[in-house]
Amino acid sequence: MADANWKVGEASWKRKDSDETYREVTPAAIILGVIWGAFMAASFTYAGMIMGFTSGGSAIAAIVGWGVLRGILKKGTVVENNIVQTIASAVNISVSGVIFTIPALYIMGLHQEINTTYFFLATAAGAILGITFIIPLRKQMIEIDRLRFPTGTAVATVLKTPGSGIEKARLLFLGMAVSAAVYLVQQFPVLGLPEIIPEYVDLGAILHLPEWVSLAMALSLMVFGMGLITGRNGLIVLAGGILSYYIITPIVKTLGWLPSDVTGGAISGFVYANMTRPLGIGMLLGGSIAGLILSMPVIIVALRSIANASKLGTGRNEELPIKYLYAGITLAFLLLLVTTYQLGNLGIGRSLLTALVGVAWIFVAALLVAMSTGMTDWSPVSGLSLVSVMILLYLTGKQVPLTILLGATVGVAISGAADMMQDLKTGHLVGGIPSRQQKVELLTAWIGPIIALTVVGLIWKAYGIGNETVPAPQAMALKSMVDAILGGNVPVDKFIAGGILGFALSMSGIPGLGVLVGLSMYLPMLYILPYGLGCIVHEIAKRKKGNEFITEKVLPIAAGLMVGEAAMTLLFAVLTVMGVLHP
Amino acid sequence: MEMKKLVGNVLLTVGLVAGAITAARMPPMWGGLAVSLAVMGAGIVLRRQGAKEELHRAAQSGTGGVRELERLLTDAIGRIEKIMDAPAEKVTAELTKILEELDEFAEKAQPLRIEGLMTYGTIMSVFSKGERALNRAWSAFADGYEEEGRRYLRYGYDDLKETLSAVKALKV
Repeated sequence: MADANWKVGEASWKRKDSDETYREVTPAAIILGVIWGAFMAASFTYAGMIMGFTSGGSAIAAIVGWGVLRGILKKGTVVENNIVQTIASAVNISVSGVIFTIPALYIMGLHQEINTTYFFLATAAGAILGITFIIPLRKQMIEIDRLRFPTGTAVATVLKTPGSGIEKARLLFLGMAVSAAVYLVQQFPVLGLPEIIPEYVDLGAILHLPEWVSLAMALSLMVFGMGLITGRNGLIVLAGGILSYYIITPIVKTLGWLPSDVTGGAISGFVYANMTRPLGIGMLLGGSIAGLILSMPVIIVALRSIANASKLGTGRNEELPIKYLYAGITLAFLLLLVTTYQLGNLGIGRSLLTALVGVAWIFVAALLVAMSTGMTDWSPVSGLSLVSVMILLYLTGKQVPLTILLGATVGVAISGAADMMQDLKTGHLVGGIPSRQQKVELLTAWIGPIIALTVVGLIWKAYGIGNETVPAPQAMALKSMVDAILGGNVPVDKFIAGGILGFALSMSGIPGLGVLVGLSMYLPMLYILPYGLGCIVHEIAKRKKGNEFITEKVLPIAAGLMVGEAAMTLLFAVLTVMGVLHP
Repeated sequence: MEMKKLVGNVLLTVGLVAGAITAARMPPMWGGLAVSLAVMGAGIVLRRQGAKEELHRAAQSGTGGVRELERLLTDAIGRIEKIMDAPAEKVTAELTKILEELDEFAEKAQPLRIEGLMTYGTIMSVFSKGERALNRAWSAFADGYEEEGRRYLRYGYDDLKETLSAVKALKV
């Protein structure tokens, strides 16, 4: 085999047998990806139910991949490590779809109404659908629209670091160290450390602005790094945030459109919760539907070219054959149909309709979440969940257990779709073969839901859910959504108005404008500010120093800033599982 | 910026701000929203016309647009030809620069959308295939798999030549 004389930052990986097949999908990559993905999935499920956060973990998987493939096994390539991170994140990512939904059934005492098998069927259907829908969208979003996918770009930087030269490696590690250190100081509850660097700074208070002006900024280097990679697109999000918080809010206040009991510091929160956020959700939907209509010719061309390449069966065909798309959709549809028919007592006609609408909605939601993450790295999961629950409650005749179960299908699908797209972007940047990535993801993505569901069940038996020990904040939020919808408290008029605006914006000729402005209304200003700052720095650096400076200096630092904080979130999850941290 | 496009952008922004404000009220002011949408519509038509005229002017003057795209592609193809048989270390370093140049091509190709999404999609599809092949060549060379690297260098070269033919065939 190869000589093991590779060093970080030097392209000096000498081989004796250069004619050997280029290592990509190997047993080592698959086993390592599954093991590391399962470890992250278990840790994030537990931590997510206690602390309310999860993370993708692609970048950490890439670093671990280097450590094992080259550090221990003394072999490994860039594209092989890409397979490691693809599998690990595929196994891990479905966690968020499960913990956002299934624990709500436990909290409401409805989990016993559903046979465990259906939990697996519904979430597996989501995992398969999320990935198969991405097959035609890959060409459109990555190759034609060339969306940025900041996380995917950051992971590619990590994968390419060994061959990129010592300078890039130094910048990457510098960014990682600074970001990890800042996050540790902010979070670690000993020696009064969080007091030194707070999690956010209230600029409004410092500038003595009125209480209702929301000008707090999260001190998150990860979010700043996301902005640094995104660049121009993020400036639209910043502009939309300014429109939402500093134009609409004062005008609404001046015109007296607020209830009389909403005063002072509560104004900004009220406008956000009841006016701009639901408008933003509507804009996201309208914008993405317009995007879908505009892109339909390209999607059809993409599908045709994939189908033709499959028929020819020769030459350089690196796309997953179209039959996988059809088979995946059929299988997932059947799983949804069986689940709905068996559990819902709705009759075959309504079960068919529910499964059909469910599949169609997952496609729209997957498209939307992939567009959002592609353009900005933000994923509007909670807003989409609200709309999902609304649609599903209607379709299932307000059957809450079935709605939440199908909500898990949607959650797993959209988080899987976004992750797959990020992985495929990484693959594009390192020269991975898309069909290979998609196949390994299809083969392994179902493992995540099993792990997450098992951990949720174990936690229920050990501690219960929805109490002081395991607050499950995301599931509690879903329960509130269900209660609100059942109580008729859904701002449908805002969704429609926002949808019309978003649709019109996306027709402007500026790709994804409706989605970008919708995101800016949907996100809290707390995060838009550091993100926008990162975008501004990117644009200034590009104009003053050129594209090369961005690639050679800004990108590795930004990737490091994102990876450092992500690594610390995993550390916190593991420490929580071990009982060292008690949030 | 060309006047028509500028006016279009202003109308689009004014329509959006007014639309967002009228839609934010509980319940929304539907009449106000309709007027705002009409303003946005006028803005969209003007900015699309302006963008198209801008692209055509750039093409005719030869200062940007398609000519610039041709130049970038021709340059990248020429640089690849020079490293086809060069030592591996040299290829990795040169590929890094070529990939940066291709990134610039992709950015400058964005206005082609206005000529039609199908045209833009066809060009970017083959271009991206070539770009990914060159990315794979870079990785293979960096990993010490020279044979794989040279195979994908050739693939990338062929795809870029195909892209150049498609760009030259554009009637802008």
